[in-house]
Amino acid sequence: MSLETVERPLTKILAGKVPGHLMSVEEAARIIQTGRGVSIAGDESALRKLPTGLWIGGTIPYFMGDDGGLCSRDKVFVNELPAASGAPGLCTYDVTSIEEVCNDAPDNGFSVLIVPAFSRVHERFAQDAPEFDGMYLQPLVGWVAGVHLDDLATVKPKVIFGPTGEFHDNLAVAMHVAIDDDKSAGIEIINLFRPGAGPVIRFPESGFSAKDVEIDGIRTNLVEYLRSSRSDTRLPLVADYCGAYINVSFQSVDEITGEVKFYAPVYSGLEYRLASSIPPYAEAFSQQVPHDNGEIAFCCNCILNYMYGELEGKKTDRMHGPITFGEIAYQLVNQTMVYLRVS
Amino acid sequence: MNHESIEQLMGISSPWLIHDIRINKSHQRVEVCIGQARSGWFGSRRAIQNFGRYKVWRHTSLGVLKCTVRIDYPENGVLPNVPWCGDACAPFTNAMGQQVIAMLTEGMSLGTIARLLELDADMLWQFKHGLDTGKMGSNLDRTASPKVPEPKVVVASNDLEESLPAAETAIWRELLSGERELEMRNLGLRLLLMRLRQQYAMAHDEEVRMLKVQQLRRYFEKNQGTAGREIEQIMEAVQ
Repeated sequence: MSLETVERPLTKILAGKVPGHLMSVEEAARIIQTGRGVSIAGDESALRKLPTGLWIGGTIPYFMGDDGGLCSRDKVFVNELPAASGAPGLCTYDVTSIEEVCNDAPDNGFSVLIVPAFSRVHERFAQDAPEFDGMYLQPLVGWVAGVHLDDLATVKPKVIFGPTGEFHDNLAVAMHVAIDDDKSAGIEIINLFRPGAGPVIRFPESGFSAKDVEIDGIRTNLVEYLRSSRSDTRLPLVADYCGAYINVSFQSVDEITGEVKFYAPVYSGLEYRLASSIPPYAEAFSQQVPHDNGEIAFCCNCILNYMYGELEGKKTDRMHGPITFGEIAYQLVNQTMVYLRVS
Repeated sequence: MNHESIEQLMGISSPWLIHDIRINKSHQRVEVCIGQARSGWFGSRRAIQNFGRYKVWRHTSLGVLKCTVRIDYPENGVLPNVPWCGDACAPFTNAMGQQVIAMLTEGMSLGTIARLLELDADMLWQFKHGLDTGKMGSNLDRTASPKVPEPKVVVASNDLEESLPAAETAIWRELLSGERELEMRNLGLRLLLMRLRQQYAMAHDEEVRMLKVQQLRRYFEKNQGTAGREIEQIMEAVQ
């Protein structure tokens, strides 16, 4: 391997101030062999061809790249992270130890976490992350690994611990990255959705599903309400966290059992509203992406935005990264573009 | 074993008494069994009423021995609100719970607390979750405070830590109660403040509320680089 062939993609990544690039397995392998810590997203078949090294990864074949949104089983997205000198810390977490993820973060830096969808560690993180020790004190970004939508019934989402090359469907992986003292890292989100003008919805219990809820203070079955109000469940529920709008997306509405399932937990004690409708997604994203020259160190977007917003072939400016089964901006969020700035 | 002396050390008084002390030397553990005296009983002075119902809590250590307390109590009976007993749903006695809260308030991580007090990490997590959701902690401020050991982890102070308003300053509680708003740009701060406001509203006692104050203040200590604008607003408000 020549150094020249390695330098080309790395230089391109840094000069363009984008979070990474979609590339062939061979190019990704060369980057891994430089020993720089990277986070990689790709279809399982492609990731299995990569060498061991200082990387973490997750399965997903959907991406935002130079040519817009696309699905590829051959290419992988390589995100080189802007570390200070010294190797980043790579860890795996199970359903119990995941609560320590924030304590492992460096004093100045950030952590990237990848969690396999539909696993117990995914469920634990989704439910309990806001209460993890040290949560919100240091930036924690990441995503939920998934599969091609055609493979949902047959293939399990997985994460990869690069140093050993092991694939896991029941563990999370993280890379803890220290940055130079004169820099700081911050998480930002682009949420296209705003609370609509409809009633306030309150949930008696926190969780991934609900039947009876309070709608403007009146106990009502949520399925009945959604049907009678002709609500569009492609639009999420939105809660206002001191000015930050956080979504919870609808997974299914079961008319027989009267139960609604969500992709992230709803929390009792919070007020939710159904989102108002939005302009075409691609147009809305390009209005909200930052147009300065600041470094975007990491980015991911939601598979539901890709599907509902028909983002295939549509560009999202310099926001490149995997399109995922859930986004992590400290806690799990839905239908949201998450990015990390290092400045 | 002199049960009366241990009762005095632990503050156990009538109608409660220690009826058994089980020491496991190989595991360095002691279980103190407490019940209510059986009235009109002329056999063993240490006979207790058999309620057929008991609960075990982790208590503060007795000497070098890790201590658990087992209390026999009646169906639908009210548990005593004393340091050596705990909430029905809590894993710790009130005395141990207060010690944990004091250490959390000092900024220690759950891992550090678990190591120092030799507590099960899962149990500790459940306890903190109970405090955060208002399901535990209702007894804590009405029981005698144990002496909290000096923290063994020394946190270095810096200029900002010293110049931020002290935890007792009203601004922190005003922010937590929602009486005062900040113009915030930082996502982490918004999510944290929302969470802490919920927990502050649900907190049953002063110690838990002070823990929430310290958690909010610690955010600014750790994030002076990204929260400068918010810190300025706080400083202006207290001048």
